[in-house]
Amino acid sequence: MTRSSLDPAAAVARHEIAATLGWSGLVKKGQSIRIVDSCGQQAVDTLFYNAHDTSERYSAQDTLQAARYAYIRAGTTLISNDGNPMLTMTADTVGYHDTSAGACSVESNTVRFGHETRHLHACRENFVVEAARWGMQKRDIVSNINFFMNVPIEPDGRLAIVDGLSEPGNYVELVALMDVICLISNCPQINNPCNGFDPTPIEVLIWDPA
Amino acid sequence: MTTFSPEIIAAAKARYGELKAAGQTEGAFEARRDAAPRLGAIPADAARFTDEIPADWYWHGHVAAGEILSIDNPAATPGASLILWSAVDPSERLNPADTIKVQWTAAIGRGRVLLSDMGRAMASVVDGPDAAMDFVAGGSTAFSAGPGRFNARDHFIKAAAKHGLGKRDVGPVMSLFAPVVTDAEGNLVWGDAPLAGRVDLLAEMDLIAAVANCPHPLAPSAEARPITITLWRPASAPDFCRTATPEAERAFINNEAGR
Repeated sequence: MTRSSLDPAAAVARHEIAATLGWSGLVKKGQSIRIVDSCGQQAVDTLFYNAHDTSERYSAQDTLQAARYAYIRAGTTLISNDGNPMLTMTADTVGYHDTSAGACSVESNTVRFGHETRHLHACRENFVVEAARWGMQKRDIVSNINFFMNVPIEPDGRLAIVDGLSEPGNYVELVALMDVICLISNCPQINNPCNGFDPTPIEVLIWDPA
Repeated sequence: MTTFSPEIIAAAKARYGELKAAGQTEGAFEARRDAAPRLGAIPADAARFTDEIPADWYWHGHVAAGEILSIDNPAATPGASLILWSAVDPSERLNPADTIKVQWTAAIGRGRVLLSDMGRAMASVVDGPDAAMDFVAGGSTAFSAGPGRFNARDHFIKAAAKHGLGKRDVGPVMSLFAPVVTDAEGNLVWGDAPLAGRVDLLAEMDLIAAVANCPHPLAPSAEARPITITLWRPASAPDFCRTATPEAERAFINNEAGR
């Protein structure tokens, strides 16, 4: 549990992201971005790209390799596919966050939950639309971070999305080490516990460097 | 924004509990896997291509649906990384996250399927060990391999380029012969599974594949040894992976629909 001393009243931007929707925006080098799980147990699927060359992007595998740890937590530096530090997690009031289980999609939902779910909204639908705003395509969507999503990987390999640990108002905060585009899908999944079976709004705040 | 009735939410919750229990209870999957015949030696006249890949080098090529991509590691090199694209639409590619999430385990091996981002089986793991594949930590990079040494990431960028693709098409990868385990504290550690052996991947769609013979970044030894790639067509395609789990069966419904 690492709290932030930043004052919400001093934030330069505040965005409420309604349940199930996508959002994207710029976070400049030195700025801090906070993502607030306003109602608790809400997965926030998140990707980062170098704002000046989007072929450089967050790499879950490079990040976990460097940390030799299976989750994202306070102090973790997010590493790009070019091996560069993109952001560091400076505050986290939850504990740890998944980056191995990816984003839900219409297609994977059919495999996981049955073909009767094929007309439900999903994170990759949000990602494709938000990525398109920045000139990117489906092929640019890589393994993301799932803030507030609890996916323990057992020593025998078993893994499953289980009840989220976050309570209303819990947050994560990251400081940008380069200018980044942030893509968010406020996860619309209702077939597993990642949103407590009830998707809810979240909030994004951005601060200039002190 | 869609809202769901309490009845729909309750039904989804119950359904998830059933799926999770079925997906994580040992028994049915293991029985189907263990009952399936082993492939054995590759018949001399069945291979259309074979090549020994030197340490730290790579291979790339097309694998037709119904062919088996065999990767043999007789000298126990510590890891070789793999990436798969659909040859028909390369924007469809191996999705390591979906592969482990959908099958309820990071211990992927014989009997499992390798899933694309479009909910289809790209390949079935028709033979090889029961686990010892890594989908979490990935392959080597310029950073992990160190300056002046070839690495999996850069090999994949070259392989992609030779099929009209590029750096944007090289996302997360999987590694063979890489027993990466998450310990009880969440640390990623190198397990003790034997490394030597052969992995046989049955192409379930026309594929472009790339294999980087570069040691895994978490391996205790960074010394690579040659591996052998063979492309061959069995007399009858082993199909037990298609029905090994309900998830695999549903993925193959998508394969059929996508033809």
